[in-house]
Amino acid sequence: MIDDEKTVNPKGLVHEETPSTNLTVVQTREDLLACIDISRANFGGIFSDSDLVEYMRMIEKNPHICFALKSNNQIVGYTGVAPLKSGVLPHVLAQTLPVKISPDDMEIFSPGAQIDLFLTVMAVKPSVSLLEKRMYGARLVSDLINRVKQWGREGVGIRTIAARSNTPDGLRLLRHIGFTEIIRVTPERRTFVIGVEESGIPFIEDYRQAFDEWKRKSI
Amino acid sequence: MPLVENGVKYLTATEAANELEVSRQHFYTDIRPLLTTHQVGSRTREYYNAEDVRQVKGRIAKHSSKSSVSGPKAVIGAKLVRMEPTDMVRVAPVLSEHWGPPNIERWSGLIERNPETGYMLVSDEDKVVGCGFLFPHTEEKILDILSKEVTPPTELDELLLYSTSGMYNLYARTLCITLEGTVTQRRFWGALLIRNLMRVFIRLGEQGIEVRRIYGRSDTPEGEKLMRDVGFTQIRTVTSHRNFMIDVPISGLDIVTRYERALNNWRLRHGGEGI
Repeated sequence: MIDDEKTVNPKGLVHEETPSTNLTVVQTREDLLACIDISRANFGGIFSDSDLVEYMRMIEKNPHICFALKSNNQIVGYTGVAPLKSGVLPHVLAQTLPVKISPDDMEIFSPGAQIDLFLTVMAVKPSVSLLEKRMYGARLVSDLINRVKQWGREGVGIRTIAARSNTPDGLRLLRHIGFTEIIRVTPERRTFVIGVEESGIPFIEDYRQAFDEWKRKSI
Repeated sequence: MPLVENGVKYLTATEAANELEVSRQHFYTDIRPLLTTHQVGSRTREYYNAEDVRQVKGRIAKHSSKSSVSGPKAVIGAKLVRMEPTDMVRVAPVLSEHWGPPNIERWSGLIERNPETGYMLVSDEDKVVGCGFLFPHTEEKILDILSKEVTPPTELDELLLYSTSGMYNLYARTLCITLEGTVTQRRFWGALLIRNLMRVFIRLGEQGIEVRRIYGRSDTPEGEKLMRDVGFTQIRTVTSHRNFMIDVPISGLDIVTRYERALNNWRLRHGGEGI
């Protein structure tokens, strides 16, 4: 039997096919609401109208802080990042949930900016199959890695990349990427960092090389 | 229907679970970590080599008929044993598989100098299937090793002796698993080796030994994955090897927390101040 999710390839073999996906920058209130639904389904929490307004303000200030993964035009996962100004990261890591980041604490991804990159969220719609969850998760990770390298090419100086998590999937993912677990300041989330200057993680080395290249061209 | 590419048969997760007569959930949680995943052609989904699945099935059938098995049923268990100098003769064949015959006399001498340094993985069939060494060195010595393409030999006087008044940096070296057996089996033994070596680190805390940093390096994807899984930080390299490190005072790893608790207890028992 062949259903909508299965196709027959030219060899006559039947396989489940996962629909094609694409990544977009979240810019509209509707897309942001869809992301918040995914966040709520994964982590719970309450988002008020004022939270939504605040987040839209942040997106207006810096349009590259939320990236949605779409499948069949539906958002199935998303990543959120916060490019923090110098000195803000320790305060963010010391916050209990929900973490509040003011738009004033954020830099813009612009050439010459020096930031600490805080990975605020990475989540996939929980109702998808395990296979889709893994595929979407891998897509979000590879997109984030590509963006970090791209920021290097654009001259965005990143000192530290940080994240917190307490879910098994999140912890596994952060270790897989190469994050270092450090002593946590608050009890409810484990804390992970990548020190960009010291790191030997291949994509960070690519970032440094791209950033050095940008510096050479710009000076 | 299995996919065949270049004469190799591949199964999807559902097909593999059916072949093993387990649920998909059971497959993902217990069996999948034992298998190598493949991407076939331009397809993005994961496939499993049908032959690997068949071998796992055979091992499950074999071990399910035995009364006691260490570790997952699909593989042969093993335990980590502290080496005596004379054990180098048993370990030498495994080392030979990777780096050629070792200088047994020199290695035995190192173990004799500091008996807390050499460990071998002995299978349930009483065969040495792996080994690893945790050498306490000065940090300068370790950084010198990391800067060299070929790991220089360790001289006797470069191997520090433990004392409760010192502070040590460890270099995890010559971690290896026999090349015999399936990928699944070797991966399982590799995980056992590195996790049990980390327990050795906790035992150092129980003995009042203060460790500042643990270093290691790897040149295989599997080794790198293991180091990351344990929680090592990948640091810069100037060689073709990948370097890793755990900075104990700032680490939030469970294993470090347990080590610090053990060290703290030792200090309190011996009239010192806790951390």
